[in-house]
Amino acid sequence: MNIKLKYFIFFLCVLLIMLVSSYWTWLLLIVLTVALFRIPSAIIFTFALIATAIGAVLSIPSLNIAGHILRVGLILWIVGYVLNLIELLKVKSKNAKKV
Amino acid sequence: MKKKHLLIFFASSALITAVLFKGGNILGGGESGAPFYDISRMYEDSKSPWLDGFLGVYIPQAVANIPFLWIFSSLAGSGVSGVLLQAMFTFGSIFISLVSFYLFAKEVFGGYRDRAYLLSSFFYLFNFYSVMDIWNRFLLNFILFYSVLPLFLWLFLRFLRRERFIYLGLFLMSSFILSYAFSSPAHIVVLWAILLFITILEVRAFGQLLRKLLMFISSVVSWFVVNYWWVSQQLKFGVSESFGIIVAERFSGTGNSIGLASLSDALGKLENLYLLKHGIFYNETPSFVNNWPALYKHPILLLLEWVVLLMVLYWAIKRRKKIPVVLSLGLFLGGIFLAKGVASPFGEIFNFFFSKFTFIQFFRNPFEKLGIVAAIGISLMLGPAFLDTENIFRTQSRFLKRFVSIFLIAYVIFFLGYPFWSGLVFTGSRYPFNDPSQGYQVVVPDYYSKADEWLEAEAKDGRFITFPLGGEGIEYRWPKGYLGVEESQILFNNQSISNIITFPFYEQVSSSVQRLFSQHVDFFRVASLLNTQYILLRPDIDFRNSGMKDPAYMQKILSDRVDNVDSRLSFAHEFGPLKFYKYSDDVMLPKVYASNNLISAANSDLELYLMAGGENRDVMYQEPAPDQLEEYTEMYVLKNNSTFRLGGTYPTLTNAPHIFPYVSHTPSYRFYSLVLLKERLQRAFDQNVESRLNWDILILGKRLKEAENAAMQGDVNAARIALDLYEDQLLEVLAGIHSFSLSIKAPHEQVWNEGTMVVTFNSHLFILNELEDNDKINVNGYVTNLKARFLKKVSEEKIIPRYEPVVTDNFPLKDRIVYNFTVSSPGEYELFIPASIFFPKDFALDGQTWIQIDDTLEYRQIRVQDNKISFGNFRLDEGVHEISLNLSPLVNLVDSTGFELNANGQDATIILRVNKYSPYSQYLISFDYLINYGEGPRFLVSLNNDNIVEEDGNSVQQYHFSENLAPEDYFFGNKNYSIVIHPDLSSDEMELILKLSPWNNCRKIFFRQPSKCDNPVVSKPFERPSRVEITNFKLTPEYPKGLFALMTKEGVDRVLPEVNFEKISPTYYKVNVNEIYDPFILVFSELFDRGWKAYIGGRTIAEKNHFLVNSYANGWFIDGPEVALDIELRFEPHFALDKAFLVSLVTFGIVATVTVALLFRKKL
Repeated sequence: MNIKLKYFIFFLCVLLIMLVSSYWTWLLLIVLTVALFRIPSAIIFTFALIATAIGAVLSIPSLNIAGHILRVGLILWIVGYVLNLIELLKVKSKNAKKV
Repeated sequence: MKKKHLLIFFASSALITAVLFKGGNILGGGESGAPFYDISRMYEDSKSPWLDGFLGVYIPQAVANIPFLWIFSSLAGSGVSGVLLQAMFTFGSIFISLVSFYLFAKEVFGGYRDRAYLLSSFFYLFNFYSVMDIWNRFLLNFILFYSVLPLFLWLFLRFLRRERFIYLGLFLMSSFILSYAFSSPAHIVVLWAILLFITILEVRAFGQLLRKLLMFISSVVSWFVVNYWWVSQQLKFGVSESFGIIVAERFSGTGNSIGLASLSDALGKLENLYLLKHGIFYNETPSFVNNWPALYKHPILLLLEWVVLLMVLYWAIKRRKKIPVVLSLGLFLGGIFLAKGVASPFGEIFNFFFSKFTFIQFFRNPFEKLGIVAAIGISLMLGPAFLDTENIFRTQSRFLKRFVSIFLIAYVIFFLGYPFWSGLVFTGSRYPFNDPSQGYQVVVPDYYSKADEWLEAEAKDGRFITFPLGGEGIEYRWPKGYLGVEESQILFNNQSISNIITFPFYEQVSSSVQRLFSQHVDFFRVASLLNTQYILLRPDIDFRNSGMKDPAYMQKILSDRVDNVDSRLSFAHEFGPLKFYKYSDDVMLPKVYASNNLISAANSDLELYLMAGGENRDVMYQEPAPDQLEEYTEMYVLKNNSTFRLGGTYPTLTNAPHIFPYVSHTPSYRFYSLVLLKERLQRAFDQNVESRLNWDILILGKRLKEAENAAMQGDVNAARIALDLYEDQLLEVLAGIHSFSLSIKAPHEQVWNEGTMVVTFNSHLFILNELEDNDKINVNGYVTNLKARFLKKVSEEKIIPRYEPVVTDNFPLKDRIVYNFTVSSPGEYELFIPASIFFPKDFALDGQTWIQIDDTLEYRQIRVQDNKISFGNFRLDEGVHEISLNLSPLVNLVDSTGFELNANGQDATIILRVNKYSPYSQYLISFDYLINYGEGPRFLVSLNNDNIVEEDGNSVQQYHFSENLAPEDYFFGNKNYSIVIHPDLSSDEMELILKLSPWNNCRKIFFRQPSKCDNPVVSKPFERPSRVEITNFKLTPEYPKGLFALMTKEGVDRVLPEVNFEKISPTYYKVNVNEIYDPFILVFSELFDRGWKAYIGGRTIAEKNHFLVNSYANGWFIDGPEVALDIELRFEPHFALDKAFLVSLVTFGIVATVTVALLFRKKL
């Protein structure tokens, strides 16, 4: 896909998030980003860990925003986990073909 | 497993058990009660799905406890004390939990040093979820499930990997012996869901998929057969009529959805879930010993908890391609995702399944039921993650490695394990749990065992009623205190009505007996129906914290009754503070008897029996019942469905935006369908069921407003469309209101959110009346007919009356009380209201009065006789009727009507004593108040059983009602205040309190640091006096809520047969009936259940002749030519259990034989 088109879609998604504050939109954005830029699970997991760490630190003084960040973190963990499973399946099927 | 690790587990389990039982007493309280007080009785109760307690009750899941309780009961039989048994159970649970998780973690990960699995298993025991939701909660089946779950997972994983039957055999044998762990359906789902997940991840190549799935399915099937005896009971119960009744009367999807939403909100916060913490327990509950849960929210320790979690997650990311990590991380993330319930993100998924599949609604508290999945996931990863982290430091510095190693061990064993090592895990936030010298310890006084022995000798199968009577919970004042479920079922061998529990039919009976006993000297008539010859008075309770009546008050009533020969009650015996009273033998009925005098009642309220004047052997029944009963029915009695008060004007219009929103378009608008679509979309986006219903009510008002606007514009067509839509939506809204009324309405309300509903539908009626007057719209009575349907439907939901009030000069609309009732058998009914301490004396009710019956007026003579106020006889057809009359209260129940409150330097308090009080009435309180200067008054209603709580070392009363009448910013004149008070039914005295504090603006001045004003030296200079004048203070009783209708028919003399019976077991009775000359009703005074069958000569009596009698019991209509009959009464599910248990036992035997043989072969 044309890289400009990718960025355009990505920009649209960010805009959508700003317009509609829903975790489904976050999911859509993350899934689209992963699909468009072929991001590996390791990156997603790292972002999930960072989000969880930030959320954790902010939750200690009971800041409200901590909950939102942890929720986005959980979405990242779920997407990362599913992606990791897909990657594992791909490796498995490649190995099966080789055999 | 190495021996030294086994020794560590053994020593740890022994040490923790020793700490927990150092007091030498059994532990109990909370939901589990004190089962080890008499474990043999628990075993006896679990042997049959029919519990020989209460009035008898069908509890199918109890039989799952048989093997487990048999072991403990056998030990108890051989002289092992309850406390030792409980210590053995606790030790066993901890030990199994540690060992089996060690084995499971080792099987999952392998390749790590054993220390990793040691840490994992200790974390599994000591994590925050385990501490609160398992051990502190103290439910035996939850403890057992948590402990043995890793054992099942380990055995299953071994079976999958090694494909050897021996592991499946051990799995099945364990499941048979430990079936008690599965007595909650949620546990079964959790176990098999995890096993399925493990199975899928164990598929190493695509070719293995079918094989592994077959192994899984064969495990499910064999588990089902081995556990068939109790699984079949649960399945049968699921399709039984008993369950159908529970679903219809008690089970509400709406209630569960609201419960789920509220629990998800409280416990579904990710900042707690990631750490496996119960949000309320660790953050908000005060008053624990040393406030120990708060220790874990100290910022530094909280940071430590997060660092450890993030370290484990980081480790998991690094090893994400390894299947053990995929399994563990999947369990952790999946567990968190499920345990948060409907909380964000994606709570909609949980909500969808929860609302669509009602059978999974036992996950109403998702954290409690599903948090275990996350606990297993993180526990699995923790040990290996710690060891790998330790290894990172190994290459850098020996000291650092040693430090990290010690730190990690200290974190799990000492930091997280502190509640166990200190024994605090078995303490709570309420007295006596928060008293370190008591905690969960229970010492049942000796007088209970003596009372039990005496009662059993006196009347082996006799029942008793316990006063004071309350709900499921109780606080006993025993030597070590007790706070938990009411314990009569384990303290006494005899059946009793000692608490109010939501078993069908039992609940209706138990919730009314205390009131009926207090109000009726001739309560023996009810006692004989209930087969309860004895009354037990228990003063050894904390009545305030138990939500019960003051035992001293009940003692007074009992003493009065003993002095009154008409009550037929006498004192029988006392044991310590316990006192037994006994009804005379001549008024009591046997458990099985015959009758042919019938009373047809509109519902199962025992009060109807008393109101009908039921006498010995009169049997009360209600529909559905055999058609032939009509012939034997001598009385028909019914009570009103609902009451309404109308006053001033009716209907009244409240033109508020929450009833009638702004309407910009009428249905003639071109894009009106888009308006409707927008409404639908807005509704769809709202996940909260309550706000959705409020939205529907708002939109309903909008339809009516559209019709009104269209009518004003002369647009008849648009008005008609709006009204058609209104009628369609009205049915949906009323269905919603009905569902909410079943689940969350307040006890004193007729309908959910009664105040708002009355105002809303009153306003709707007002507009419908306006439209009815519009000739263009009301062509051919279009609106009139719609209004009639509206009134019919809305009155059915008890919101407004069905008939509009007739108003004349002689019969003005003032304190008009409307009683709505349903007649199912037409005839001449006497309508009456029972006399009470207020009625009729304290109401303006003359000898003759105007009465509106349906839509006609009648002038009637009032007669006072036999403790009832009769309005005379009325010919009533089948259907819904309404009778209304003006009932204005005359009396003021307080002496003082006006006074001043001057708070100068200290609080001013005026206490008004209520001269005459009954908790079964409601009270209207009204007064005017004028704030001269300073603060406004605080109005309090104090009841004698208000709860007393400890706050900062002081005993503080939690008033029944409290309202602060603060001064307004704008209006400073005389204001009126009025409120209807609904007292607690367990109270005996009421006081009204008005308090006034001096004015003080210290906190306003120091708004940045208001705590400064806690110091009196700082705040005193800011203090100024307050003064309030109170006038026209009035306390009046509300109108009587119950109206009864009674029709009596001429009876026919019939000969009653002679009945003898023998109780073979709690589920099997042999009955011999002789001298049968007429058809009769055989009454069996055990809780009604379709599982009870009556057999004559081996043939069952048709189920259509089996019906509910006397509000709770079984009745069979028997009409046959025989003069003598031998009848067997059997509770069929019990006999099905015997066969099913045989199937399970044989299967278990085969599995055990093969498994043991394989084990031996392996050894050889």
